[in-house]
Amino acid sequence: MIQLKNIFRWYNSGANRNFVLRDISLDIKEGEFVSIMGPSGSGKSTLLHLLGMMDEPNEGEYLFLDQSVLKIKEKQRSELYKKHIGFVFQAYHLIDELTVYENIETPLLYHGISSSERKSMVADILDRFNIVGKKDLFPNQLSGGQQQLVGIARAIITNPKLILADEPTGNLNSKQGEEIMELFKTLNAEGVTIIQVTHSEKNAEYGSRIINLLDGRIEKV
Amino acid sequence: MLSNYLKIALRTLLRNKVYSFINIAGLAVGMAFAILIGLWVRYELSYDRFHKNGDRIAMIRKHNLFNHEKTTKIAVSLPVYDEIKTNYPEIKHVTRADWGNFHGLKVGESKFSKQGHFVDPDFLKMFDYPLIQGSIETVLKNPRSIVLTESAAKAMFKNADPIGKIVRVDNQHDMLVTGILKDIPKNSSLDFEFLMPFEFSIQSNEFYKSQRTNWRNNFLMVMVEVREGASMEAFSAKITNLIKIKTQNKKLGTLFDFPLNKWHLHNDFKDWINVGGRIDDVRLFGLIGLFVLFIACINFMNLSTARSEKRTREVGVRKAIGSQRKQLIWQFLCESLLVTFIAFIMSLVLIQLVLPLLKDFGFQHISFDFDNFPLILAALGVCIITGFLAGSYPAFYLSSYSVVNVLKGALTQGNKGSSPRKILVVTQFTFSIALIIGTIIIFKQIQYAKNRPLGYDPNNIISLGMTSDLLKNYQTLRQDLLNTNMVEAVCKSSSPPTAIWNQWDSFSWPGKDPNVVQIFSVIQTDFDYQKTLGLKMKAGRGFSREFATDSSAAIINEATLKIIGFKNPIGETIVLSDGDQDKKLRIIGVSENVVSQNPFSVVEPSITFFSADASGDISLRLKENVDVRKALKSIKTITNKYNPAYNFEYNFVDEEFGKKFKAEDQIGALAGIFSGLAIFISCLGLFGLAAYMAEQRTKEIGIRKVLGASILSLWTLLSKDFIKLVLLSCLIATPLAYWFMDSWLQKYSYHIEMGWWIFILASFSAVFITLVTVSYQAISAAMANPVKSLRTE
Repeated sequence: MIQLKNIFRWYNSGANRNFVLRDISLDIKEGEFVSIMGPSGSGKSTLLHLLGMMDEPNEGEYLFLDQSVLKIKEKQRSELYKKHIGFVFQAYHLIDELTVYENIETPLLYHGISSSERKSMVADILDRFNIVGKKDLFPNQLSGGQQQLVGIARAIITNPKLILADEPTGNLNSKQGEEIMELFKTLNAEGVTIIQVTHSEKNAEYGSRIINLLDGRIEKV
Repeated sequence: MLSNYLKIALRTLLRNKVYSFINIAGLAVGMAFAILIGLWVRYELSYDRFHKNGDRIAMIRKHNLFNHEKTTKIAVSLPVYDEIKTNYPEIKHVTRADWGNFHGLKVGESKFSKQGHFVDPDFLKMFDYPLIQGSIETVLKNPRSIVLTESAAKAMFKNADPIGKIVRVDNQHDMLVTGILKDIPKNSSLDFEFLMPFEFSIQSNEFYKSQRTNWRNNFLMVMVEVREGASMEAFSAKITNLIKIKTQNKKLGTLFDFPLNKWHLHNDFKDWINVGGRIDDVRLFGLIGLFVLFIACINFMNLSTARSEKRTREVGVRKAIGSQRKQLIWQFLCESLLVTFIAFIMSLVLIQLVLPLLKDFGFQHISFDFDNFPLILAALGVCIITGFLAGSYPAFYLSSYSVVNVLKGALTQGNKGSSPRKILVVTQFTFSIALIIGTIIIFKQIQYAKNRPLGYDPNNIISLGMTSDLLKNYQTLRQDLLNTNMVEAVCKSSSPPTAIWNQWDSFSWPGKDPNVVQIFSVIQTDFDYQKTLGLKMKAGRGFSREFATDSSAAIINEATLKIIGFKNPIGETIVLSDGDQDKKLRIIGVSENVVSQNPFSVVEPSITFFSADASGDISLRLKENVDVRKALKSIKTITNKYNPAYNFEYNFVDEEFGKKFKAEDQIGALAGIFSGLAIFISCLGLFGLAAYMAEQRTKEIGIRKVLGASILSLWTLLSKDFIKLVLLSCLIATPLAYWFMDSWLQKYSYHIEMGWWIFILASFSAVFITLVTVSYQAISAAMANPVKSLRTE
């Protein structure tokens, strides 16, 4: 599903190049649950953003579903992203002005899905996540765990093939974290590919594969 | 999608009440005034547009060359009419008209003072003043007919049918009511309440009769309508030299036709060239209206972009869940449209509230009619354009954020986006400061003209006007008035103290250049003129009964003395050629320059000479410390006795003089209102920006405080950026305003010089206002507890 070949990412600071990623090559197959680990500044998030097409490498090649992401047009790329990828953030990033229901509904608007269909899709997912009772609340009326649930609901409502999660449990207590990880496991079992960045060994264990990053390189285990 | 956008927009507005208020209030005020000015401009432009054949109607006007000065006048001579009527086939209709004076109309025992014109029957055929009763062909045919407007007829005859009834005019002539006109629209240059045949004024007036072949005495208006397909320009060229040819005198003026659609707005001539007129004010205020709206838009842009950091996260999230940039742009445009729409509704309310207050500033005939569909549509158009204009910058700016940066929280604030914001603030304040400077100069100019020495004492003078009855009984009237012991002096003159109705070119004196036509303002008057007006003399004396020879004496003003150039003017003689005989006038006095006409112009040379026939006005001076109400009561009783056809009417000369400032006072007041608005809206924006800045720098301020910064130094730190911007605006606004106001002042021949202190004052007040606006935020930020502000990070 995903192939990275010799990816480099650097920032220029003065005359120096600060490398964030060096020569990353990576294969991820559909249905995998990958955990990316590494200390702060090792390039985890940058890698995730590259995979999520929010950032571009300075060098290298990126194939997503056999399409060369870096060579297609901006518009096609954004279509590709919209269709196949869902993003879960550490800080949830719900829109404060919208209710739970509306937050979950928003991606469907961008997918141009009709109003009645939207209704049933949102209702399904609210039901599945057991948050029907919360649908008219605003994000700041929810606990962190609940907010992240909404965040995940929002990420999967468009039925993406791939979920990218950037420290999804980083702001949660351990019990909430466990619930979220269980949810990811279930989703993965249903066939969704998941790539998560995490600091926690325990959470990493949920994955089928762990990639360790150090100073922008993949550590061979 | 749209409902999602609107929901977000509304909730954002409600969440940030102060910000929303600043935004909406600023926009609403700006829009309200833009629409008001739009209405005023529309009204001004609508003048005389209701005449179907308006583009073929013109007034015959005249270019003169007097005193080496090229002037353009409205009055032409009587033979012009006959000539055009008989010898110009391209003319379909032609009419004469007098100036439209007030006349005493009497129905039974009820007396009315109404304004009306003497015109020819063609008048109603060329202009669209529709008749309700009577036929266009016949109503003015009989010389002894009168046509009334609907409301005049209503006032005079109540509910009775006025047709066929008799109206007694000026207690002399019985006229038959032959027609009723619809009331004259307010946006008509010609305004009147009745019409009478011009032929009648010729039959009843010996002076008019004597002028039938005199091409040189200009005292009436002539208006023409050319035939369909005929060219106004060609006709104008044809009549150019008519007077010169007819009189064989090359020094006399040239004629031209002046199209109806220029009468109201393009009425100014300079050196024979049509240089504009009221249209300048229309353009100026149109421009200012757009400025005020623009300033309000700038506020919107500024506050939206300044606050954008708060919304960057939303932008990031939306992009992360699949939004394209285009969709974000639309979202923000929708938001701005919503805000402008709310502002629009508020502005409509505001307009209704403000309109009555603007009655004295030229808005008395203007209203916002909610049943006028095109008007509503146009206003809505303004609203939508404003929405797009105000929303475009934030929309493109906000939607340009890259997701990664935003979500990483690593968005580099500060420099990015703050320099366009600075440009916007500078633009805003440049307009505001220029408006302040303009307002100060306008007020100074008006003050300057109000305080100029008038050459006489206008206080305590009452002007009564003149009627044929009063003229007949003048001597007894005068004696009765003096007998009341409340009146100091009485005189009659050819024009009231606040006007000059005659300008003659028929004077000569030793040493006069024969090639120059020299024109003088002429006042004919009798004894006690000097005493009544309180005329200030430079040399010599006023007319006196003690000198029998004063019946051929004259008083000249300083301007005349300068032209004539006599070293010792008293006792010298000037000659007035009056028809075939010359009249010698002996100069007995030199007066100061009396400001009687335009207080903003240099006083023209004038000659005041004794004439028993003076018949334009009666002036009387009340004794000092007399009870004015009691005095008026006795004057009324006496005047009514000798003037039975009229109701008692009078003017205080100082009040009449004050009316000459009406147009300028209006402009001054409007300029004041607008600069106040501009500053207010700009300050609203500045307040919002300062609030944002204080919020953004909370952490910095906290750290500085911990390190020992004083409140004063923090206040300076936070205010200085804004002060710099405003100072820059001052630098730009000063030359701009100087250039603009210099050309404004040139319109007045009696004007101030712009002192540098005006610019300093305006700049100083702008800086002061800025400081006050910004300081609230700066000081409250500086006083905040640093522990708290650092913890929030």
